[in-house]
Amino acid sequence: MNFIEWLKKKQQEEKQKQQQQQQQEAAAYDSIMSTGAGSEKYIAKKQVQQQNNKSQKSIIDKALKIKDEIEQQQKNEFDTYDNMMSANSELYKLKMEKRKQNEVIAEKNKAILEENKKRYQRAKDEAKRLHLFGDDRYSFIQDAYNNQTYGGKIDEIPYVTTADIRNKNISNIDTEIDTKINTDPNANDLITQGASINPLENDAPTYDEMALSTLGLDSEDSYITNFRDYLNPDELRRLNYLLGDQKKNGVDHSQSIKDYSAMVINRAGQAYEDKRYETGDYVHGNFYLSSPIHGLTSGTIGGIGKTMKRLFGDISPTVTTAEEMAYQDELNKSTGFKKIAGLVLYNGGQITSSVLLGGGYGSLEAKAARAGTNTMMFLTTAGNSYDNVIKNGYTDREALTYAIMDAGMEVLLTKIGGKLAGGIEQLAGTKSLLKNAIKTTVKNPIDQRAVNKIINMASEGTEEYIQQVFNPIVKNIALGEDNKFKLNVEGGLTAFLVGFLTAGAVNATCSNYGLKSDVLSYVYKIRNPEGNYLSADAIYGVHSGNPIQDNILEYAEWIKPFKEQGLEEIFGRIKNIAEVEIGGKTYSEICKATANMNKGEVIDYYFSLINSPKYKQEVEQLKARKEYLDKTSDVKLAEDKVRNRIYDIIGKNTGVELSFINDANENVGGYFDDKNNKIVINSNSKNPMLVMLMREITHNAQLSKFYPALKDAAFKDMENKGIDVKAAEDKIREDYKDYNLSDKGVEQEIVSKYVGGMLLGNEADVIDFVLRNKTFAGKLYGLVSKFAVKDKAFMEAKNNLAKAILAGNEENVSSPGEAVLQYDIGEGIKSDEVNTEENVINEQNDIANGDEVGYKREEGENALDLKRAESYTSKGLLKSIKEKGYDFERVMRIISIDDPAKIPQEDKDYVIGMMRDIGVPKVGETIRKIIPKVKYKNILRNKTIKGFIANAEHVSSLNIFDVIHKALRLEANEDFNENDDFYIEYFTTVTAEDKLAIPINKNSGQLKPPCNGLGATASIFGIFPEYFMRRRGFQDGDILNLRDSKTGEKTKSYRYDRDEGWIEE
Amino acid sequence: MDIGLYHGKQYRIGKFTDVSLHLLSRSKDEGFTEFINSKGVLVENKYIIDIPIADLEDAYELWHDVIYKGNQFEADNIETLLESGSVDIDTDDLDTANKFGFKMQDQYWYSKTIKFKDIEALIEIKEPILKFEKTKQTTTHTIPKEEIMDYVKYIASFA
Repeated sequence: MNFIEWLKKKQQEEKQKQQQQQQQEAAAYDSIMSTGAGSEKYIAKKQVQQQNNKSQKSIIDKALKIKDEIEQQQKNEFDTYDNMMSANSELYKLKMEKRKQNEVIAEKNKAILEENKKRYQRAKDEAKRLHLFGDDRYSFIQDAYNNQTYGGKIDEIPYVTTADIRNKNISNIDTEIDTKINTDPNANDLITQGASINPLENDAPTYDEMALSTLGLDSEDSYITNFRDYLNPDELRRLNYLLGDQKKNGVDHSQSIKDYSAMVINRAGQAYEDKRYETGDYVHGNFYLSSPIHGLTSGTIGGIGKTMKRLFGDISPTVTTAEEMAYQDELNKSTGFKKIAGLVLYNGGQITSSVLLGGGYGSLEAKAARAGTNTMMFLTTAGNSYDNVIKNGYTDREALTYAIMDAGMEVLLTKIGGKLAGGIEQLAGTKSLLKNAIKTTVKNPIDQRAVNKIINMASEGTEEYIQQVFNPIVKNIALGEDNKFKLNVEGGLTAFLVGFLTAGAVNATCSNYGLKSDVLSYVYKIRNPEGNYLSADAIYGVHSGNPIQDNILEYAEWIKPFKEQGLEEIFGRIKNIAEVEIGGKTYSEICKATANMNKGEVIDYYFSLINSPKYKQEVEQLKARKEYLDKTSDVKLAEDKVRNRIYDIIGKNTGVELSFINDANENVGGYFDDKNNKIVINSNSKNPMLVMLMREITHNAQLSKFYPALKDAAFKDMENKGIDVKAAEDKIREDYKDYNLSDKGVEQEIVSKYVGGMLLGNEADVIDFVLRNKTFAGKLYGLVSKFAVKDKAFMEAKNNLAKAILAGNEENVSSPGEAVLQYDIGEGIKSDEVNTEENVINEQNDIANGDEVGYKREEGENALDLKRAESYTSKGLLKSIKEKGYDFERVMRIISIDDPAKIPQEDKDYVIGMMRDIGVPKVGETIRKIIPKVKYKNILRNKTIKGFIANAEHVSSLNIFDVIHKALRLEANEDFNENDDFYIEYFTTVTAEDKLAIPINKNSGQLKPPCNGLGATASIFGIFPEYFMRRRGFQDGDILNLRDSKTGEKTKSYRYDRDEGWIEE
Repeated sequence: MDIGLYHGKQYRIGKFTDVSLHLLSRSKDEGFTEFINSKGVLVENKYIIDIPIADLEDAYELWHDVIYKGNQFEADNIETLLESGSVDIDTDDLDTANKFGFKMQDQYWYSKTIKFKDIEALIEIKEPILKFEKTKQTTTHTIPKEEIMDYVKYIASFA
């Protein structure tokens, strides 16, 4: 109720009371008058008057009282109102205060922003300064990076000490001030005055305080010797003179005082470190193995510590710590692998600081921007590390050292280049400074390649190994703890090195076997059905033939969940590891050989292996393999495309065995492998079909007897056309230098290249050639016909040949029958291709009509074509089902039936049995799903996926959308449109948590095409097992590719990151 | 979406290894640092912390089903309710698909987009993961119709 309502209510109440009063008075009067007479009336009247007076008084009293009440109430209301207004006023005040506070915060934020900008500018300036004026430490790496040619000996690497830099920079300043003192008659007086205000004379900070100030941390712990003990009296005197001269004479020396103070403090700090070094008062480690680590930490401490000081305004030369001096001393004395490793890692530490300062690549602005980002990371990490350690009772000095080292490692290993978990790539990537540092340490180019190769093998998890090794060591150094670090367990240094080395060997070996190569999955990521890994420690123990009890127990426990079939496979994988050769020794032999070695001997043993000729050979293989793996998906797709095209065209009935190489040189088309009797084709060749034809020209059984004539004809033609055969030979020898091509091979290459090119060339040349070489024209026709099924260029060649032959025949024969004889194509070719009389006549008609020969073959596309189905079915799957006793043709004839009601139960069981034998994709295998274009935006936004999915290998032949649409029966989903200009493919890896099922007998009896309930898609294009995947979240590393529908080319790619979502690559 | 309970608060779980994982937050809670993406760019209002798995108080994968015309269906991404007011639901049962007018999405998989007004209730399913997988049970919780949109906003608020 508001005040007005309350007032009305009160007035109403008062009116009611007055009415009641009047009624009471009237009732009293009537009562008296009706009962008395005469005086009684008077008395009665008086009484009435008295009564009235009484009553009136009472009424007045009451009214007054009410009035008071109303006034009081009003007063209360007004008070309340005032209070309310007052409250509002307070609220307003609060709001205003808050606003003011916000303004202050905003101002502060603005100031922080400005400060950050300044800090960023300082970082930028510092990067620029270093860039312009150079710093011998950085320039050493920078030079190596820029020139790429540093080939000096290890001992010639310039180790310029901080003292060298310091003395070089400040010697002039000392002389300058001394000159002033010597010529100023009042110098002593000024020095005395200066001393009175010099904080270094009166309250010099401790080393810790100076160091902590660089991180903006406070310290109350001053146990470290006061700086004053290490201050140089001469330097103090010079500083005092500058202070005194400024104070008394008003000469502005502020900048000089600042610079010189910093220098004096720096010298004292260095003197302190020098003393520590001289007296051995520094952290000692087991150099033999910790050397490379010590190198990095020293580099990190030195580099980052200096960087931090510089970023915070101290531009004086920085202090070399006793640990760093000890490390450098030890490093200079070391040799061999120890030295290389130390240098490599030491330079890694230096790179860290370089990166912090904006070193690395790109424009100066880019470097500076990176410096800002990394510095922020550094500060955050350092601050956290410091806080964490200080809570545990460590001193400021210990905590600070630990913070710097830990943050340095963080930045070095995980944040370099701003790429989370990609640090090692920047550290060891293709163009890294580390590579160039290696160049300075390893003279022999082959050795360089070997070491680079090892670094190249760095993959996910490597930094984890480094961190795991480092963590206890960092703590040992910084916190004086005595942490043991296990070197022979997974994650340890030995495992790290062994991982590198075996990566090379496994990759090399696998490339020989043509296996998919992923060393981590071989060495460290062998999981049992429950998803648990078998540790490298256990593998090592078993291979060494000397497992400890823990190894055996782990093995036994780990192996329990396997079924018999899984066991065989897993033993196979372990056996693969055991058989991997490193420098001519199998991994198993190495494990046994190193079982009783100490850690140093293990490193040396591996070092000797990687210097062996055998290993160099393996590295060469690895190089090719690595390049292949770098673009695996593209190469694989290209290979598949080529392979499928060729298989599609020539089928498998020609008896030609094909294999593929991946040589970047497009001029290498391929060669005939005499030893293994197979044709090898380079997937990168410009025209693999031509290559195939060339091999056939020289090696086809039907044509071979004509080869001498063909060769003569080719050379004669070349001669007539003025082709420099010698130059062509030289070019072929150069291109094929890695393939040991014999003289005969070179000759065959020339002949086949010429004839092949000619056949695919212009019509006039073909006719000219055929008219002069009728004896083998028919053979060539037959050969070209094999390729002309779908390839336009070959169809044209076939047409040209046909015209040429017909033209030739017109000279000699007149009936088509005789012409057919001329076409004698040979027994190796399928009759339905070209060599039936009917076909030939048809082709003649085609030619007469101006159509391409073979044109009408397209009409049969919708019928089951076993050859085509075989070409689209994964070769691995074909092999697998054959081994399991299933007949491809029978399966195809069953699954090509759309309506499951028309499939006899026996046939259904046959296909279902096959699908059960194939099973669902295993953990670690890649699976692929095709997603419609209209889902593009949704899929990027969603967090989960489900539905039909296939083993990527099983559908690798399907890349053109039209084929995918037909083969996988995508018409089931209305979201797919055959005219879509692109489609989406999703790749992921099967995890132990995934739920995949073979869709067998789903909705029994109620299936609608294309659902056949058999597990394999109802398709005429091949066998494509598909699986139903329950909903699952996207996983790290999942891939989304957008592919052009017509060409199958990848136009865009995304990678899933659990922290960030989909990232466009 | 994987959710982790840490210091009594729920966070989305990002990358993880056998021993540690990332938690992501919209607020700068204790120990969290600014999130810098893979391109080196600082992401506003996103913070990250790397913690040992052992420090997690709970962890589960979050799924959602909806009740539509008295039947329970899997929901794809309930956050679409905020943008379009609709959500996709699925079934692999042909009878059900025919009954409710679902569209074939893949073989044996049918989908339908339904409006918010047609949702009768939302079911939250928490499936234990990581170390809790073997120690805890999957739990479900029904979100009444009137609370659904607030709940979806809550889900969308995870970093």
